[in-house]
Amino acid sequence: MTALVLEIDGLELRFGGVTALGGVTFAVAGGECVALLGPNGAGKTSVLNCVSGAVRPTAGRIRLGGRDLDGVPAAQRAGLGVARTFQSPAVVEALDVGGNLLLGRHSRLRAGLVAGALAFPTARREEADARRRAAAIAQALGLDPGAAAAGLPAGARKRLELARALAGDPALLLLDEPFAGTSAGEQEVMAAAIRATVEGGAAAVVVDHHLDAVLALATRRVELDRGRMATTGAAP
Amino acid sequence: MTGVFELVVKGLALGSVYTLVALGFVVVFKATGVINFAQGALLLLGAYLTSAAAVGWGLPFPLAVAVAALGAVAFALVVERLVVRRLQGRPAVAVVMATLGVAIAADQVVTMVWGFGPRHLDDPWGAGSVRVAGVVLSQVDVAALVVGAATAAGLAAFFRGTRLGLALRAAASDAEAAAALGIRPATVSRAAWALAATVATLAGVLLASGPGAAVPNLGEQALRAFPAVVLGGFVSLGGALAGGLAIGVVEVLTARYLPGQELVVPYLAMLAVVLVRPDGLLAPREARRL
Repeated sequence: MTALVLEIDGLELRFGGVTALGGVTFAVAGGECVALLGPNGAGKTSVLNCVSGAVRPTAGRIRLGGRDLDGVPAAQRAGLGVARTFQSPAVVEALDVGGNLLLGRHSRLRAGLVAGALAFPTARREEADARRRAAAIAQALGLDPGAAAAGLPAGARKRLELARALAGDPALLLLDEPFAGTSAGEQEVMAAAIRATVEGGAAAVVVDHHLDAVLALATRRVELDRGRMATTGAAP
Repeated sequence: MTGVFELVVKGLALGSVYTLVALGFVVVFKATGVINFAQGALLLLGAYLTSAAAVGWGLPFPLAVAVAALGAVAFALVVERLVVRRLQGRPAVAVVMATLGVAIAADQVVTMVWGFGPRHLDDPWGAGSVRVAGVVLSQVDVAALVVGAATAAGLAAFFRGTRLGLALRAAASDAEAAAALGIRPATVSRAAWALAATVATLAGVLLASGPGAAVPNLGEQALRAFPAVVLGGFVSLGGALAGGLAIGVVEVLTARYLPGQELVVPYLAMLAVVLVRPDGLLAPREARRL
C-alpha cells in the first residue's frame, strides 16, 4: 500500500458549547480519493478547515506525510503540498484566469518574492515555467488564461478554482463541493483532472452533494453525522 | 492674473503629492485592514532623512532620496513588527490608535534630532520655474507631476506583473483563500508597509523641496490627503489617484477664488461624498480592485 499522506486522529472542534467535530478519525493514502459524506452540518467542511489550517482543532492530531501539523499556519501548509477549494469559489476577481492560476503555483516557486519583483533571471525562468504549467492546466479544464475572472459564470469559477488548486502539484487535495453549480459536461472534465492528479500519487478528500459524481471519483467513503464518524467503506 | 489653466496644472501637481500619500493609506488598508495614521510620520521621516543625506552627508540628491526611502522602509518594518503584528486579532480601532501613537512619538523624535527650524533638501529644482507652451510652471510642480505619474505607472505594473503584487491583490481579495495558496499574511503586511513608506518618502520630498523645506508639521500636511482617500473609497488605487488629483485642484482653485478656505473645502467635499456615497465615489465599481 502507498504511504499515508493524511492521517486524522480523534479530531475535535468545538465553538463554545457547540461541537462541530467530535472525534473524527480516518486516513488517506497517496493515490486514494476519499468521499467525505454526510448531511448538512455533519462537519465535512470543518474537517477540511482543520486540515488546511483555516481553523485550529480543539483536540486531535492531523499528520501530513507523517509530520504533525499542529501549530503550522495555513500558508505554510500550502507550501507542504496542501491545496484546497472553497464552497463558494474564492477566485481573485481583479485578476484574469492566468493570474489566478499563477497564484496556484505561488507556494511552489523557489525564488523569493523580492527576487521576483526585481525580475532576477532565475525568478523570471521559474515564472515562465509556472505560466506554461498554468496554461496546460487551463487547457485541460477548458479555461482561457486571458479571460477576466470577474466575468466567469458559476461553473467556470468552480473549474478555475480546481485548476488553481491543481496548478501547485498538490500532495493533498481538499475539494469542498467542487461540482456545485456545474453542468454534467463540466463535471466530467473536472473529474478527469482530479483523477489524473490522484493517479499521479496525490491524496484527495472530496465533499459534495452530487453523490453520483463524487462516488464515481472516490475510491473510498467516510460518512459523518453531526460531527461524528458514521460509516466508512468502499466507495460504491 | 494667473490663468485658470495654470492653476489647474498647479492643482494637479499638488494632487500628485496627495495621491502618493493616499496610495500609502490605501495599500496598507487593503492588505491589512488598518488605517495607518503613521503615514504622516513616514513622510516626515522621509523628508528629514533626505535632508540629512543630501545636506549633512553631501550625497547627490537622487541617492539621498533612495537612502531616505530605505530608512523610512526600515522604520515602517520595525513599526509593523513591534506594534502592528503584536496587535493582530485585536479590534481594528486598537491598531489604528497604535499607529496614531507611533505618529506622535515619531514627530517628537524628529524634532529632538533635527530641531524645529526648516531644513532644506538641496533639491535640484529649488524655487525655479519653467515655461511650457506659454504656461509658467514651478520646477517642483513639474517634478511632482513626473514623480506622481511614474509612481502610479510603476505601482500598476507591480500589482499587475509581479508575484508579490499578485500575492498582495489575492490577500486583499480574500485573506483566508490567499493563506490557503501559501501567501503568508506576514509577508503581505510587511510588503504593504514597505510600499507605504516608499511612496510617503517621495511625497515628503516633494512637499519639502522647491520653495518648501522639511518642517515639523509636514506630517500633518499629509492628513490633507485624507479626503482623497475617502473620496476614492479607501480601497482602490485608481480611486486614490482620482481623489488625490481632485483634492489638489479644488485646494488650489479655492485658495485663488476663496482665499483662506482652501483647507476647509476638501473636507466639506469629503463630508458631502460620505453623506451621499458612504463607500466613496469609485467604490461600487472599484471596490474589489487594488
